[in-house]
Amino acid sequence: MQPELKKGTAEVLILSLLEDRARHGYELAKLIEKRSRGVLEFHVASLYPMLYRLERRGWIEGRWLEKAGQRRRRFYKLTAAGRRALPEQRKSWREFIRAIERVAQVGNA
Amino acid sequence: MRDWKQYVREHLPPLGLSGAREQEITDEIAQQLEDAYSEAISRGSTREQAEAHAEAQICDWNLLAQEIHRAEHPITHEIATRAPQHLRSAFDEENFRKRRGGNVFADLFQDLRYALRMLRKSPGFTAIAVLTLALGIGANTAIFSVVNGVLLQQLPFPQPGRVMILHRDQFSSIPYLEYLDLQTQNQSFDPIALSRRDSFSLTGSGDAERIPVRMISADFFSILGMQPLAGRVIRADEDRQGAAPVALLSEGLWRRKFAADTNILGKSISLNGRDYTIIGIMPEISKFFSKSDVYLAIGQWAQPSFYRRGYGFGTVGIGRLKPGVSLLQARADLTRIAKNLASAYPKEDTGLKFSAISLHESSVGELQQTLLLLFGAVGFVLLITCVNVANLLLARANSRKREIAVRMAMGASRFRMIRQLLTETVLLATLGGALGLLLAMWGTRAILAVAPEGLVAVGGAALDARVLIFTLLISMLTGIFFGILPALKTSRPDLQKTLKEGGRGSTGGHRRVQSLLIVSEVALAMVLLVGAGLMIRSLTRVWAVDPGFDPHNLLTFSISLSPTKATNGAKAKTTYMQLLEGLDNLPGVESASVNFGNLPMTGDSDIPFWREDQKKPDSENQMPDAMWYAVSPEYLSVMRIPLLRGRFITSRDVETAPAVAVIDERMARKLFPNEDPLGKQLHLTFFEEVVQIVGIVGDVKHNGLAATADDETQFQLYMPFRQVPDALMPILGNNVTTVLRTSLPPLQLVSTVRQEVKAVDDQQVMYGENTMDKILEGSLAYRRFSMLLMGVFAALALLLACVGIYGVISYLAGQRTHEIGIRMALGAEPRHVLLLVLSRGMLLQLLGVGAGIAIAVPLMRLLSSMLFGVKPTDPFTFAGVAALLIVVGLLACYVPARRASRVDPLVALRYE
Repeated sequence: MQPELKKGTAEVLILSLLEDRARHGYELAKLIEKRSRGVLEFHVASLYPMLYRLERRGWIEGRWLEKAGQRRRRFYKLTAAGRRALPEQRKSWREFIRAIERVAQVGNA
Repeated sequence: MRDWKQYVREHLPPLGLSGAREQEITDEIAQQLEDAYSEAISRGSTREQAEAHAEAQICDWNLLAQEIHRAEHPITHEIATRAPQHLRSAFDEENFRKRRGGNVFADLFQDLRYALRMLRKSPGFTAIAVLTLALGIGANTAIFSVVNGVLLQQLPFPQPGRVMILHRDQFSSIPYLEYLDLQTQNQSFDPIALSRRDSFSLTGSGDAERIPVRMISADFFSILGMQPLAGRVIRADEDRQGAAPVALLSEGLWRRKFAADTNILGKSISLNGRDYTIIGIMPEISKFFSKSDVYLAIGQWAQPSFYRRGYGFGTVGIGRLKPGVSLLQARADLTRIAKNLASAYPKEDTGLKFSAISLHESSVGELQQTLLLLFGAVGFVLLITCVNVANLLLARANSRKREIAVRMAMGASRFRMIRQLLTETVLLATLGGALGLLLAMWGTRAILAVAPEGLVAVGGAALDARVLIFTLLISMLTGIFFGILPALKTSRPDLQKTLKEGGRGSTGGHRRVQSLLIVSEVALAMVLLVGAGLMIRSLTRVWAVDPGFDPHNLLTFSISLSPTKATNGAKAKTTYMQLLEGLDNLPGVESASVNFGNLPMTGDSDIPFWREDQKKPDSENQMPDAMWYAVSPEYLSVMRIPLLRGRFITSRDVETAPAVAVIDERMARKLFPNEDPLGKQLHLTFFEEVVQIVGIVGDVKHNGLAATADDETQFQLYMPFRQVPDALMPILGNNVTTVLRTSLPPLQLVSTVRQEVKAVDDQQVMYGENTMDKILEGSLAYRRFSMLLMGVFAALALLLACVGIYGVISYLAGQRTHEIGIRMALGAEPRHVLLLVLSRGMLLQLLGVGAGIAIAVPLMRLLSSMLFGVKPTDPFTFAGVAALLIVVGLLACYVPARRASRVDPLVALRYE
């Protein structure tokens, strides 16, 4: 996959995972790996820069939290702007998938 | 458990973010690693496995840092990703620098790394710039190493600047008795010593040979602060008549002749047939005095005339200034003593003057001016080099504008950019300097090969630490000098415009600066060319001077008679006559003559005289002087000096015949303006003879072809050597030259002549063989040397200026391709375009030539003492050089102009 494409994918994934609750980086990596059954794997070198980029764009917000019995972690949650942006992202992602399907004729094989 | 924060801090390259943000990111990533570790442990891994698992989370720390940086600086990345590929490096560099923080040395290192990469990227530019710089810096280093060897050398003894050389008048000898007065009456020197050069026959130690000897008074070496290598120096009680004869050997003679025998002290050597006890070995002094192999006590010299007031014998005073006494005070002191002596001995010392100059100045003398002139000239070459490279940089600056703009958009300050650009230019200059050093090593050898002997003797060239520092320093300065202007210009781009235009920024400013640089380059080249032109004209003028004799096919040499003959005047004369007869019969020899006086261009001793029919002047200082030549009858035909009136010396002018003399035409004219000199009588001092003038011959340029008006007042007087009083023969015998005219190449005769000399007496030594042509050449050595180097520098300047003009005109024409295309599309013909470009180049040339003339006119006055027969403002030279520059410049412009005139309008317009 091209880098641009991958970046787009990852952004949608992260935004989606943060939709219902705040999560920290490691958790996000684990979740993506688990839910894709190991197909998608996030390296630290791409995960964190992506989080920082989304944060800078104002779609997510990181905050240091210390939950009982655990270490201090940085939890990311979706901002209002992120929440507004997510449908748009999903939509363009879906369009993209459909386009791929049409081209590759995946759906009506 | 491992401290993961520590681990991350160690591995993550600096991000160039605020401290807090960087801390935050470090913590977060450390947390990730810790989570990975804990998870692995909980899965049942060992500690090692868990740690490896955690570490594997991040395999490329640089990539991570770069990605984070990109995430944190989205805007600069926007620019950078849109910038063409070749500008990425600029971005990365800036990026890297930020991560590194503001460390000066790290920055410098980075600047260098970056500069190297930039130079590697344009090898053509780099090669031309480095080569140009190498020429400029190399030439400077070569000359500096000579200046260093000669002018900057430290004489090898304490406080050399306090040691003064004393003369009577400007360069005349200080008579011994006057020296003794100086010693007792002066208050400025402590002490004063006297010395004179001579040459003696060394016999009894291997082959007989003639060696240079210096007679010195006892304090000579203590003034120089030199200690003997072995033994002791001459004591005051040995420096007088009747003392036991003692000698000091030079280290050179000691090694050469006595195999550095340490037991030599106390043994004796035989000089001119007399035994001297060796009391010490001295280090060489040839760097500041002429070479001597043996030192003898001057006070022991058994020459009666030496102890007569007013009689100098090539003696030179040397003194060390007392502490706190300045040279000016010392001079005043000397003047005071001279006045005292003049009133005490009016007959001998009226008009007496003493002069004092530093030893360094006296040993460097003529060289100083020559070298400083060359140093100045070569400095001009370096300036031209700088201008050329600055021009190259400016042309290149345009294509780098965008790179600079990108970096400045990313936050690099202007200062930062200037520093980067200067690092590049200094690096260029240093590379040039390194190559230049190699050129200089070769160049120095070349310079010494053509250098006058005098230069080589006083030090030659020294390629030492000082030269290296000089080269490094001028390289740095050169780099900054030629780099500063382009750097200032380049680092002030209009960011937006440049980025929008895709690097095709406006060039109006550059064009003006480049034009200015071309004008100054042409002006500098003009100055050098005029200097070289004047010197070349001088030398040709000098060569064209008639020396008054025919110097071709003349062999000259000296003979040292055996000790018994040398001390006996009558025997000496007989020996010389025998010898001349023998030489005359040798095949290839046309005729031969001895000369007891001065050979043209070599000796320099006058005798005062007065007209017998006029009142004797009160003192010798008021008498006219004549250069004298005591010769045999053949001298005139050997030298081919024309006889103008009367007769020359004949074989009938023997000891018993009336004393006669022949004078030169100038002496006849000046001394006997409206009279007939023939038959007039002159009273010669020193010889104490009255001679009758029997003939008049042509003038000889005794003091060299370039003799100045001062020298031309010198009279010349010939007398038969057989009429020299026998009593004077032993002293004169030390200064006899034989001149021989041959039909063969003169030096071919040397071995036959040597055999003939031995055949007359095997104790005789022949030495100092030379040809008159060589002597003549030698008298012009400095002039030729300066001319040669000036010529080389001027040629270099011309070449560099040419390259510079060509480069700039090509560049400017290239910049105007679009405009030219439009002009041609609108109907301009190629020749119009040719003229357009050519006229632009010519305008710059003419401005440069004009400026060059304006600079050269006052500057050339400095040269006037080195010129001969040419005025410093010689219009012929100026016009010639201007024409040369214009023609060469025209050629340099023609190529780009022609190229421009062949532009295809379609292509040129599409270019946009």
